[in-house]
Amino acid sequence: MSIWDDLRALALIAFWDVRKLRRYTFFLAMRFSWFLLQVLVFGLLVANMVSVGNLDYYKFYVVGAFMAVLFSMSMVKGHDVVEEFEDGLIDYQLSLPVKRRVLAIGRAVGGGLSAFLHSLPMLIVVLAVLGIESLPAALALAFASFVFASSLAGVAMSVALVLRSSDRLDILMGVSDSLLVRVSTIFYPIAAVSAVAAYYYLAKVNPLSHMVDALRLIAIPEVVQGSTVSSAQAMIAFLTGFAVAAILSSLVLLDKKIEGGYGR
Amino acid sequence: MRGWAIAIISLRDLERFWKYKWWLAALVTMNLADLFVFALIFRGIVRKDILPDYFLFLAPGIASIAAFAAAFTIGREVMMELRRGFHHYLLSLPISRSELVVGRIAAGMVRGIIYQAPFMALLLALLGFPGIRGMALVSLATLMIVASMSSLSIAASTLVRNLELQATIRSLLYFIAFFLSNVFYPESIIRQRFPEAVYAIIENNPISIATTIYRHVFLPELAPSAEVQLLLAKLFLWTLLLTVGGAQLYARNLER
Repeated sequence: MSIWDDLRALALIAFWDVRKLRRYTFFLAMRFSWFLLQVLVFGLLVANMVSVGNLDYYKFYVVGAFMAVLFSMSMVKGHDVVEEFEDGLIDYQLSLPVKRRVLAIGRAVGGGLSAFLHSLPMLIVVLAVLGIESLPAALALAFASFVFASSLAGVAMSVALVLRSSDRLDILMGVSDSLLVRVSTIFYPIAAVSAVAAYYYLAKVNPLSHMVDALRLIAIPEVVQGSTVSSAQAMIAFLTGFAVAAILSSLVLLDKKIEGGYGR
Repeated sequence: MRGWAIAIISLRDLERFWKYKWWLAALVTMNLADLFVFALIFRGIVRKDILPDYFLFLAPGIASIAAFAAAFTIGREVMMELRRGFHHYLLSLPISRSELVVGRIAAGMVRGIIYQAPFMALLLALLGFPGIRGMALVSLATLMIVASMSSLSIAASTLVRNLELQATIRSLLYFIAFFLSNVFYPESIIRQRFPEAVYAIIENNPISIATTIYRHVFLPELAPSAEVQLLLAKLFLWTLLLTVGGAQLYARNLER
């Protein structure tokens, strides 16, 4: 098989996830309403209560709320994989004339693309609320969100491949949603997290902190200058490493764990 | 109406509640994370002139949310039964329709009370025993909030035939009750930021009413002017409205 055949297969696998978007109309409507409530009620009220130096907390929060949605949408891909196990769809995909690594990368990219498209209406709200008119900034936000969503989809897929149980996945997703989002800089700047030492160190190594602060540097640099979890270069390096590790782990797990059956 | 028939229906639902232990563990983690991570960090950045201690401010609200979220789970149960046609089996049981309906609402209430118990114990540990009158007020508020939320959830699960739309309506109601309440923010800020009509909606949300009663009992300095009789009367009206409405909708849809 030539590289072009592999790329064609990759695109087919990736768009397979995207084609399922239509099934989620009500789910999307619900998530969008939830996001609007967060931004137009919770964010507005909380911004009036807090004081963090000269930080415009509302703008800070709006980007964080988008990050929380992107995270949750990407992690849902783990559920999809477990359901596919149960429905025998993974068997079907393994029988396709497609290399394992192409399948793994295709599913991660497809999952990321689908999570990103799910979150796109929220991103548009963020652009409108923050008044971002610069096209390069909007494109940079979209691209960074897509790449990170693919990394998270890769992680979710790896976790689903290891657990192979919707019950265990449910608790892990619930706990990760609760803890990873809260012990990060999604809702508060790193300086505020330093009030509790354990949370501070966890937030420093949490990929969500690096991603949300990177998005803030693109969207509202004047607001967050000097209050991010790391320097811009360090965040890019961290996120690149995370993306590579996530894709590699799903690749290795799909290659090794599925061979010889995946019965519980 | 026979009490034992209602008890059997409620106990069956309670047993099913424990089957979702993983989901419950995740819910507990989320509620605890809201308190011990979110509130603890937020305490450092919330202006002291507005709230001297955000952690203590949020604690009664989390107890209120816990009762609400657990009571709300009964709606998912009802939705799954309608999807699988299991309600035909329930209708074939030698119990009356009203016993079945009351049993289901009572089941939601029991779930809410049991789930809230550890959060209530945490409140007692953090803020001390509020006296017999205080505990009576808290218990009354809890009973009414779990009854109204259990009924609301059942009503939402039977409003429309489309199952995806049912789930969306329930989630939307959940988020509206959650965010448009005074759990996370004091009333002074709500009044300052929103028009009077929105303030009235938030203030009269059953979750807000129960939270204000909890705060009045455990943290009287945060709700000094709360008119408890009026709050109880409002909560009673909500309970009456939602319980009667929910019961009628459920009974009607069982036989459609």
